[in-house]
Amino acid sequence: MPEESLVEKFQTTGEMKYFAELWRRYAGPAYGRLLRLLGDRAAAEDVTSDTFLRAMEGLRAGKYQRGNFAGWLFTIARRLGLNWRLSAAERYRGGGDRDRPAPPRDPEMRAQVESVLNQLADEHRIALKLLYIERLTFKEIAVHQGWTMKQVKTHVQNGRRMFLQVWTGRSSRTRGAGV
Amino acid sequence: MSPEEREFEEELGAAFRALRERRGPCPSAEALSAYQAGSLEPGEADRVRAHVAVCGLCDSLLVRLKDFDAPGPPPSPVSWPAAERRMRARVFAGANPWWRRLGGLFWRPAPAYALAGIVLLAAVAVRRIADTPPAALRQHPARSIELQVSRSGEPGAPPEDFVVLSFWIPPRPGLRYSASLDGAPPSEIARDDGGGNFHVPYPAARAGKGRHRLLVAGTDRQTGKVEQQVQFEFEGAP
Repeated sequence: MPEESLVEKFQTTGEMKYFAELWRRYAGPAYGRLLRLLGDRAAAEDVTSDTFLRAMEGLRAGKYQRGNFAGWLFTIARRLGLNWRLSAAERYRGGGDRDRPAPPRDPEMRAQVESVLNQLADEHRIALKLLYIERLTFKEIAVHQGWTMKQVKTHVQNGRRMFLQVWTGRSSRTRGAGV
Repeated sequence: MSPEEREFEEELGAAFRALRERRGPCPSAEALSAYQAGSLEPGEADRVRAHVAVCGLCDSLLVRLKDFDAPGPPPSPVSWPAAERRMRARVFAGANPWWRRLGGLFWRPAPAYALAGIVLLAAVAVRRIADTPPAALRQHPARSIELQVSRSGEPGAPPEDFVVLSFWIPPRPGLRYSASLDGAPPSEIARDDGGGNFHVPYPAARAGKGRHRLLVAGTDRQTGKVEQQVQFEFEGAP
C-alpha cells in the first residue's frame, strides 16, 4: 500500500496496523541517520522512538501536509537529533570555565587563527577546536565524536602539524609582503 | 607534554582562549538546521556563521548534518533486531497505553478481560515482592515494576508474544543503562522519556510463570564504572 494511503488510513481509522507498516518501512532509515548524527546507539534508539511518537501525535493532530511522509519524518528526526546533541554539548560545558582568563590579545591574530582553522580538513579542524577552544579532554572528544582514542590522537597531532604548516606559510607571506 | 605541543600551546594558546571567549551560546536546533539549509535571514546567518567558526561542537554537528539525508548502509543485522524490538515496544506501548486499551474491553470481552486480569494480578504480585528489596540495594529501592503482555495478533503488536516490563528508577545524568533478566548477560536499555521511565520488552517465554529477577545497572558513560544498581523481583505472566 502506498505510504500516503497508510497515512490516510491511520488518520481516519486510528488503527495501529497502518502506523506499524510505516514503522516497518522507515524505522531503519531513521535510526541509521540518527546513529550517524549522534554516534551513540542508545541515544539513536531514544531519538528514533521519540521521532515516531512525535510523528504519531502529528498525524493524529492533522499537522502533516500530504506529499512526502518520509521527508516530514526525517525533518522531525533531524530536529530532535540536533536538540539531543546540543543538550549533550551543554553538559560538556556544564563544569564551569576550566580556562585561565584570556589575556588581551591582538584581535588580528585571533582572526588569523580562525582563518587558518577554516583551511583545515574537517577532522583536523574539529579535533583542534574541541581540544583548544572547548577544552574537552581526549576521552571526551572520543565519546562526543564516536572516535577511538587512537583516532583522536592522530587527528590532533596531524591537525597541529597542518595548522602550523599553514600558519608558518602565512607568516612568511606576511613578512615577504612587508619587505 | 611534548616540546612540539608546548610550543603550539605557547604560541597559540591565548588566541584559542580568546576565540573561546567570543564564542557565545550555541544557536537553537532550528537555527542550525535552517543555516545548513541556507534558509536563514542574512543577519541571523552571519551570527550563526561567526559562532560556528569558533565552536567545535556546532562545527562537528554541521559536518554530520551534511550527510543526514544521504541514504546510508542498512543497520547492522547483528544489533538491529534487538534495537528495533526495544524501540518498537516503546513506540507502540506509548501509543496504546493500558488506559486507552480499556476502551476496547467493552466490545472485545473474553480475551481482553483475561488479559486485563493477567496484567492486574502480575502487577499486584510484583508490588508486594518489590516492596522489600535486598539489603545490599536499599540505597535505590525498587518501587514497582509492571508487566504488560503484548500478544501477537493485536493491532500494532510484535509478531510474537512479548512481555513489556515497565519500571521507574531515580534518573541519573550521564549513565548508560543495562538490564539482566534472571542472570542472563546484560543488554543495553534506553530510557523511555529522558527521565527514569523504562519499558523493556522480553519474549513472553522468558518472563513466564514463576519468580524472576531483573537487575538494572547504570554505568558511567565516561569511566565505565557501575554507579547505580536496582533489582526487581516479580512474578511472571502465566
